[in-house]
Amino acid sequence: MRFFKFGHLVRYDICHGIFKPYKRLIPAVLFLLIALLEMDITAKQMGMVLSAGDFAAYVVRGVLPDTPNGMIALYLPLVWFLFYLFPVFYLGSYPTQDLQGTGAAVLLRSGNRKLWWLSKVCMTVTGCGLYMGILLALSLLFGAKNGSCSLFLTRRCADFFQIPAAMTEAGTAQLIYTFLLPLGVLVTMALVQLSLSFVWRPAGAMVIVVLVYAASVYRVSPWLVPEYGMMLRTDRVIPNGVSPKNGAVLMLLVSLTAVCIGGRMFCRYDILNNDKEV
Amino acid sequence: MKKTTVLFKNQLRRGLRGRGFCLSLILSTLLVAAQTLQSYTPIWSMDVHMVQLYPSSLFKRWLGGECYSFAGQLVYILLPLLCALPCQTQLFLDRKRGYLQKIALFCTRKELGNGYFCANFAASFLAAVYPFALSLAVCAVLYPALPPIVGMGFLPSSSAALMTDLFRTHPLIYCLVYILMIGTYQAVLSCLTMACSFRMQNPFLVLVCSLGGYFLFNFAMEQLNRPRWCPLYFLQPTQPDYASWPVYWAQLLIMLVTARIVLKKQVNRCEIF
Repeated sequence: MRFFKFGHLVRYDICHGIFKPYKRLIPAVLFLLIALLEMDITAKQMGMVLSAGDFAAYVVRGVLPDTPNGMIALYLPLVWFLFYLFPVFYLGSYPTQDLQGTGAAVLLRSGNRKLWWLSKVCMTVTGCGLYMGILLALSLLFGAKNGSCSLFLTRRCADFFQIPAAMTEAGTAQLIYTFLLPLGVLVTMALVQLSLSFVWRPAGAMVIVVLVYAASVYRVSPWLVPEYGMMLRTDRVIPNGVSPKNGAVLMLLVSLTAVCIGGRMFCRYDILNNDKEV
Repeated sequence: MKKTTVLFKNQLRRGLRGRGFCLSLILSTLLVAAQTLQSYTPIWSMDVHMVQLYPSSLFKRWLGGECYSFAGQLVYILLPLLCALPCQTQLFLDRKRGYLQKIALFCTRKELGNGYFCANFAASFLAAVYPFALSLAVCAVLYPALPPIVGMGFLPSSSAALMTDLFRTHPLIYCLVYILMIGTYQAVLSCLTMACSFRMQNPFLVLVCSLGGYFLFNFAMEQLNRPRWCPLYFLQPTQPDYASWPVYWAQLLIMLVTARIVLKKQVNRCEIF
């Protein structure tokens, strides 16, 4: 009985949190289309034929560690930054916003705060998966246009992206760097934001998440989760880069902590206070 | 006109006393403190070779004069959000809570729109100017105001940069003019997003609209291979990509005119009662 109730809750959240506000995904899709199109044009000018994996790598490659000094300014990789920021805008406010409307009635009807919280967690993970699916679909679309639907990096493009041969020779392990680690980063950061939105409201949670992403651009640290979503910061690309194994453990720990602490915070959350809007 | 002034004063007072402005000030103060600390501590200061060549100067160490500290760069990333916090959601929330109906009983829609627009402009301007003014004041206490020498790590060093002559002759005026430029640009951006987000259903989106729009615009300009049109670069006094007056004024005027038109249409179409 409880399982069915949970299923209904998840279905309600996915419907209202992901599919209903589909218009919010339009800027994200447009942004990805423009970025991939620009890369395609640049590659053609250089005589390269990009595969689907090349397109995905272009978005998640990030930037090489470059300590800014008096003469060199900090470079913000806007494609990478915007790719990871869109879920912050897309999913960030739904749980608290939902509580202002019918969500409160659904919560009362379900009679269990933990189930309600877990359904929000499921919704967040599904939303991130869908977003990553959009990147995969668009990469495959552009790859198919070029006649190469392979999800692996091509050697010439890897050279252009400053990715060493060790990555292209890694075989299926490439997919971990191109798709799995970015998905893990998206899910972890979205869960952290979800938990924080009940402590410091959605705006405060967003500030913290943006800050963590910006900090990852600034310096290489194995303790910063978004670092693992940057292909150019991994141990296969740079010496002393971040290891995917450590990343998987860190992301799992952070996600579990966020879900547990967030759930505990939500159990004490005053759902009747309508001032908690922003 | 008188009613607009009264409304403007009232809204500005509400904005400046609100939690949003307070949060914006706290965040800005923390960022300035972190930047000053990083810049002041010799171990953390990464341009040691420049220190050996030329002693630390106010114009090199203030928030707008260096481009290597994390907090210093974070200010430019978070600036649209810092400006959005004080007043941007006020019009939306007032409409939602019914406060707008009470105000609309005493003034016309035009006066209503103007009042909110001016109040948002003033509050955002103050929020944008605050971190830079604070940093300039703090660094003025810590460092000597040595005149800049070209080629000694001071930027802008090229004559292609904006107001280079002013920077060489009157660096303090250059810094103040740049602070005004940043404040005006961010305030107009905040007004534009306030107007565009009038009919949105979600206050969180109203708040993040300017941050998202700002980064999307920068991204679009980078994709079009126009880095000099990116506000992320030309709004920095160090000018990583040289700024130019036509680009600045063109963007400012387009945003201002669009904001006025959109706000007028939104307020006229909106069913207040």
